[in-house]
Amino acid sequence: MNWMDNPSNMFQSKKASLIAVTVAACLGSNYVLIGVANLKIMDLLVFVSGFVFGPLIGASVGLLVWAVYGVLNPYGFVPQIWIATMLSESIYGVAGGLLGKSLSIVNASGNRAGLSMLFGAMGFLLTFIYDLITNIAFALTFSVPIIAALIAGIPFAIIHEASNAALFGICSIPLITVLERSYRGMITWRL
Amino acid sequence: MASLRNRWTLAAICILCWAIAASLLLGYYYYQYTDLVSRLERSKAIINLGIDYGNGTRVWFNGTRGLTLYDAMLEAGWNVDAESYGTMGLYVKAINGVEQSIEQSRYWTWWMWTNLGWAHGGSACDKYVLSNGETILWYYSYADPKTFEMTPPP
Repeated sequence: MNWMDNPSNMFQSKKASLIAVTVAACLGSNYVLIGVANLKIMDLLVFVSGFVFGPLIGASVGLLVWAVYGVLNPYGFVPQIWIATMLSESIYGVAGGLLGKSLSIVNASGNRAGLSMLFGAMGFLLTFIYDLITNIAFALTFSVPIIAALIAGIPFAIIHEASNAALFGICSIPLITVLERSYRGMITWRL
Repeated sequence: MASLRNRWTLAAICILCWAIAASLLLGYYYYQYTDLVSRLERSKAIINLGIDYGNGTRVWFNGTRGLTLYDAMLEAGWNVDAESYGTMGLYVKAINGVEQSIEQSRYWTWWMWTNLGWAHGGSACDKYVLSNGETILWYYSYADPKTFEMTPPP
């Protein structure tokens, strides 16, 4: 009996490959959109990975994306902000996973408009939390008054939140549907 | 999922997003506004402002602050009755209850102290941007009815 005969090993391999592929997709999209400030599809991909594959994988994807992107970043590397972004990015995956556990796209497909609105609102709220945490981390790192940092970051936060609300609202359902169809039968777990 | 079944829950979530966005914008623009006001406050000029009623009474308000001459007049606590002429600015008809008199040909005019004496103000008071240390006097001038030349302050 080799290691592939063990179903748990198979699942571990699939999980590892899913995480690797999603992280690669996030990184690729991030570097492509490097010149576009505060418009990233990474957050959507992390959220969807959490939704489809569970909060643990979603959080892992969020952490790993920033583990790479935060270090190899043309805007520079600051350890404190790097840690803050890694942790806050994982919130997308965790939230997606928790939502995915209580919601089935197939069952809810009759109410696509409502579902889109829910995903859009989730995108907005999660991005608000992400911006809040990272702006506070920025303020503490560079000894800037927290209120000043939050206020100065508002225009960027609004763009980030609005773009994520639109992306989550429009793209989540097609992406999740495709992934769930592609991995039908494979996703017996949602970690 | 309950939030999808209950439309009110979904509406509440969307309204929460809207409220957050509106609050963020409100906070941002409030900060911008207060910052601009404080910058303008710091950039106000300090001048010596005086008023001469043409009857021997002259009162000085030294150290008056303002961006424009009109600001300084209000800062000094004057009661100014003025009429707007659009882009040309304000035309002052009365100060502290003393109104211009067409019959007596007396009008309110402002004058600036220079090395050569009093120089007539060249623009409407709300269009004139003050500089630090200027000495400006409002004078209830007599105007020649034919030439409309103003009598400078003594």
